[in-house]
Amino acid sequence: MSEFFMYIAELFAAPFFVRALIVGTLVSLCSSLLGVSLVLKRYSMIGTGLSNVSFGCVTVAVALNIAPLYISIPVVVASSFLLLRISDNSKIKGDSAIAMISSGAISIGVMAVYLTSGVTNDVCGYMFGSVFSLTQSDMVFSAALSVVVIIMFVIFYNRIFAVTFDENFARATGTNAGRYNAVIALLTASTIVVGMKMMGTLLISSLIIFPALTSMRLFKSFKIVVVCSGFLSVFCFFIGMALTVIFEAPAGASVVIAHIAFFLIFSAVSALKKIRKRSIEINE
Amino acid sequence: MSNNKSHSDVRGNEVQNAKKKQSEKINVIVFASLCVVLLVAVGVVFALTKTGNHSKPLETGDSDKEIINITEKLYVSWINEIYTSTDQYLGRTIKIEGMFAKEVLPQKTYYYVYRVGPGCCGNDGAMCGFEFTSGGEYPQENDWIEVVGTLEVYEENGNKFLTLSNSKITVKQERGLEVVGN
Amino acid sequence: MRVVTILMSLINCKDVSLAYDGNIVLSDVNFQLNSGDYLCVVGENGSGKSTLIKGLLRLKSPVSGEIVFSDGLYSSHIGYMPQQSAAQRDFPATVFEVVLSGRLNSRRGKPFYSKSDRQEVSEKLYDVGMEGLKKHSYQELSGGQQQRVLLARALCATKKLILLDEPVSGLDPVVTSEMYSLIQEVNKKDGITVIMVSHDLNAIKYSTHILHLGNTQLFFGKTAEYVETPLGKRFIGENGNV
Repeated sequence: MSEFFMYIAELFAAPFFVRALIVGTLVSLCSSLLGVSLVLKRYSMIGTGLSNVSFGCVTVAVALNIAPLYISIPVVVASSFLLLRISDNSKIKGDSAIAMISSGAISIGVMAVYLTSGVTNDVCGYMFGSVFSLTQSDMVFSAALSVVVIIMFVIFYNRIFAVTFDENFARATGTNAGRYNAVIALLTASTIVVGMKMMGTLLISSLIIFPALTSMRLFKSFKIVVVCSGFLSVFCFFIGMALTVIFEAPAGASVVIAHIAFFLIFSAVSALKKIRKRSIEINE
Repeated sequence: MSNNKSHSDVRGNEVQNAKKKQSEKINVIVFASLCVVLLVAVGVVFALTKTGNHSKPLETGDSDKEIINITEKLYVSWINEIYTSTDQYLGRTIKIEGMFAKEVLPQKTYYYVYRVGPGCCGNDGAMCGFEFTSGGEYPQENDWIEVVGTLEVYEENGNKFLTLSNSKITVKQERGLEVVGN
Repeated sequence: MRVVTILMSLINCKDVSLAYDGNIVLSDVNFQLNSGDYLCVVGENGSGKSTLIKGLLRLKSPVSGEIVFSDGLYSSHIGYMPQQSAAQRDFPATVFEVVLSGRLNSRRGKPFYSKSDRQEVSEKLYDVGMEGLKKHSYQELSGGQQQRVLLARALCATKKLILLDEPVSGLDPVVTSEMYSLIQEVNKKDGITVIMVSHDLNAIKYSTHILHLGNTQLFFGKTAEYVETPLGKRFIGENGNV
């Protein structure tokens, strides 16, 4: 047992571990909150599209020896606006646009790597995430991002609800729905850029989608869904980290497995509730 | 749309219930906010102290400073950390376990303590570890050794290289993991 | 007996033309709406009804002419009841939360709803007969119940005028007539002016005025007159008996 505590102490002595915990918690929180709005507006695929664009940017940036954040953030933010506008005009076109942009970005990234240094560990890290290679600036950035997201969701909660539930009505009552959509796009893009380092391109969108979907299985009030998503996401992150640290499982995948487990649990509970309700009704 | 109660009755009840719920809600909100503030404060303090933000410049041979023990479970992450945030680790004493390798080149002989790190997408695993120098005797090729030395940087042909200097070598019988993933 | 010396219409449309995507889809709209009226806007698909709605809600500016609101009616104080999307039917929200969002425009800048907002919501829910279901999930309601909730939301956003876009589409006949009774009660008892855009012939029964659009204004006037016109007769004839 004492060996276990010694191990935990060693872990916390590693700066990269503490950074991983902090950035992970913050990114999980942000993505789950934003995810509620995105999922309900049927924009789930955008997470995937943006994470692939982020991959392209990061690999090109590294190939050119520029700090990745400087290229990723502007390009991914621009892409998010682009994707949202296309989705607005025609749903069908939106799907194809996402597919085109996604695969295009990945191939550009892989080409950039090939032309400069060949496939390396780094590419693996970008694809699947490397939770222990988060830097100080990642930490500062994710902290600033979380503050903004949390403020948004506390102060502008009612408007976010209105814009998510019924954009037409919100516009008619004088809310500038376009502005809120733009802010959500901006914050989502930023979360994905940071989250990509942690979870990997392939998995970051799950952090956006899963918490909301899981909470909606069981809870029917928007406020409770938002709060539950936040807690769930952070909790699943801790479980994922525990698996990584104890069993050396890959961090990104462990977190997603935790999410899947909770989704199944919540679905089961919801199904049981329905069965119970139905049997009560039958008995009356 | 028939209702037995009159409209004003319903509203009267509403107001009473609303008042009760209001004060309950306020209590919950205050409590929750205090919890959140506390957590955030703890987190901030933690972040600042544990992520090497405030490490003071170290004097070489500062024996009060902790030895950095490169654990087996997070081996690759530690090596990565030290190579990317080198400034924070220069001058620190580092303890590392791995295999011994010697590279004899015309101008100089290099000594390594390493393990095999993860490859990716079909690549073979790469050597992952440190160069080191020691005053004493060097072990046999592929021995499992523990090296405790001071992290230093030196320049050669215009490039910078890390090395553990003044290292103490211990040959160990029990071998650890030669191939590491994390 | 009150003598009204100045009668200002609530909404006055003068020679209004509206465009969509650069093309003019509605031209020469001229009508006046007074407080307490019940206006039914009819027309084929694509006749410009939704464009007119956008114009009235100030979401679109007319390319010519003007839409004048009387004092005391801001376009953001029109209670709008839009058509529902499929996504909304499955939305996780309580009935109370949905109707509460109707108080948004009165919160100008303040982030949180007040007690009076919540009281107003309870009252409006009572008015549409959904008071008992206010903690229920919106998803679990029937189509008719959801429409009533949306009506309550529209009523929360206004004291003067509601604008309903196909409020009975997809509802069965019994529920439909309940809805119409409800709207009529709102109009007569609370004095709220109603503009209803509808395909449904039955809506004409309750209205005081008709506006028939066909990319231009084909008719505006009292309902009694409308049913006598050839246009009116054809509309009624095509859609069944009143």
